[in-house]
Amino acid sequence: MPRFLKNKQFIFVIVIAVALISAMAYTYGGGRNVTPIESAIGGVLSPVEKVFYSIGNNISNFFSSIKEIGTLRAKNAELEKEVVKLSKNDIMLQEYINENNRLRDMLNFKDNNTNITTKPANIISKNPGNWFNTFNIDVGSDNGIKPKMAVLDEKGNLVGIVTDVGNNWSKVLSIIDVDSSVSALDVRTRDNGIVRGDSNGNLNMIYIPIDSKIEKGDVITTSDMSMFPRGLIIGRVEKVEKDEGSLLKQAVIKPEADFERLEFVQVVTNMKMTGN
Amino acid sequence: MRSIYKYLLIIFAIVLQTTLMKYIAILGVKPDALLILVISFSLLNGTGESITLSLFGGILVDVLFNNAIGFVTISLLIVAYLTGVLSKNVFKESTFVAFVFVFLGTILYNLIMIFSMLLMKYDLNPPYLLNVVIVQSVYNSLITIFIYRYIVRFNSFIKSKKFFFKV
Repeated sequence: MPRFLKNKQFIFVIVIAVALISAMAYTYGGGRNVTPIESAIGGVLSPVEKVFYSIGNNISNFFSSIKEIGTLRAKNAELEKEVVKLSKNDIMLQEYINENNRLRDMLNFKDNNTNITTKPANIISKNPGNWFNTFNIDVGSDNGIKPKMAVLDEKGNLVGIVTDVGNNWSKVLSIIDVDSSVSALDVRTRDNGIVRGDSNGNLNMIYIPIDSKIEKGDVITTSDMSMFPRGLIIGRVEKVEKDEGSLLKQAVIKPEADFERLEFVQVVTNMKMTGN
Repeated sequence: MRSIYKYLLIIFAIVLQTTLMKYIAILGVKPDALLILVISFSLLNGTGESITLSLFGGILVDVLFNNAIGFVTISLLIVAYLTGVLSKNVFKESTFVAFVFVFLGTILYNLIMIFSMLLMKYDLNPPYLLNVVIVQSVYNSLITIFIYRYIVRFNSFIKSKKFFFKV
């Protein structure tokens, strides 16, 4: 019998390691309602984390507002110009909406643009490691949150998807995480693709057809084929690449949501199908 | 009973790690307070301590933040146990020894995590991985230089029982 097998502590460590690997295999993938023990741990620590997170945000907002003071006047003038331009556009769009509705009625088109209802939430903490981009929010199954619901930022851009749900907290997987993939659509050219995180804070859109006219500046939204509601803005195309010898294009996409300074989010509660 | 402070310190480190640590990230890489604490205590107190503390801290982090429960715990357990085994042969209170242990420990910790990610079929990006591993090990070990003496003092405070027994 080898000497290390006589060391009870070593055997104990091996047993724990095997148990942990099985736990990893069992829990990997997410999309479950967490056990009561996990839920309680999160419930105890969430309020504490919420306090610290908001302290951090307040301090960083204070410093960033000092930095912005000098540019406020120029920015205001720019925005006023933008408002004039947009209100003109708005009148034009109203005309189009009326015309569209009239034509739809004539053709008996079924309206499948359901409005989304959302529930606001605060972010309470972010993943401690450097590998994953996940965060926790302060609403859970008590507020009607279920796994696989979409999470948007304040302006309605897609941020992530709920993975595990506790009583009053839940885990959210960001779209910039390496594990995330979303079916997406170029609004201008109607090309479909898959948007995945590339672990540098950017997104990669893959499986774009080779003859696609996709170019820099195009808006990418969720497509109707994903489990997300369609038309949620993901980001803008920054660079289009064509692999040598590959029959597909891919694009680097800059996410529209600001993941560094995320503070409040909204959870979409009327998804097409939500797990369980 | 003073060892309860140790567990409270670990909870506090996790809370800080997940809320405020993102403001002191260098090149987008955060230091790991939990790893520094667990390695330091394993170095000072041996293998028994390394098993309990890595299980406590690791499972807490995994339950709160990770999809695969055990992802952090197993890396932490291996690193802490190795540190505990090797700690018999070194001069424990030396900051330089802690510096070396944290530097090598962070590299091993991240390599085990990368290995688990490979098993889970993540799409990995090698230059970025290397960047994170190197930056984090330097950052962690630099932090250790400044805080290790306080950890040693805290540890002897926990161990000392004279207030309760000798008076």
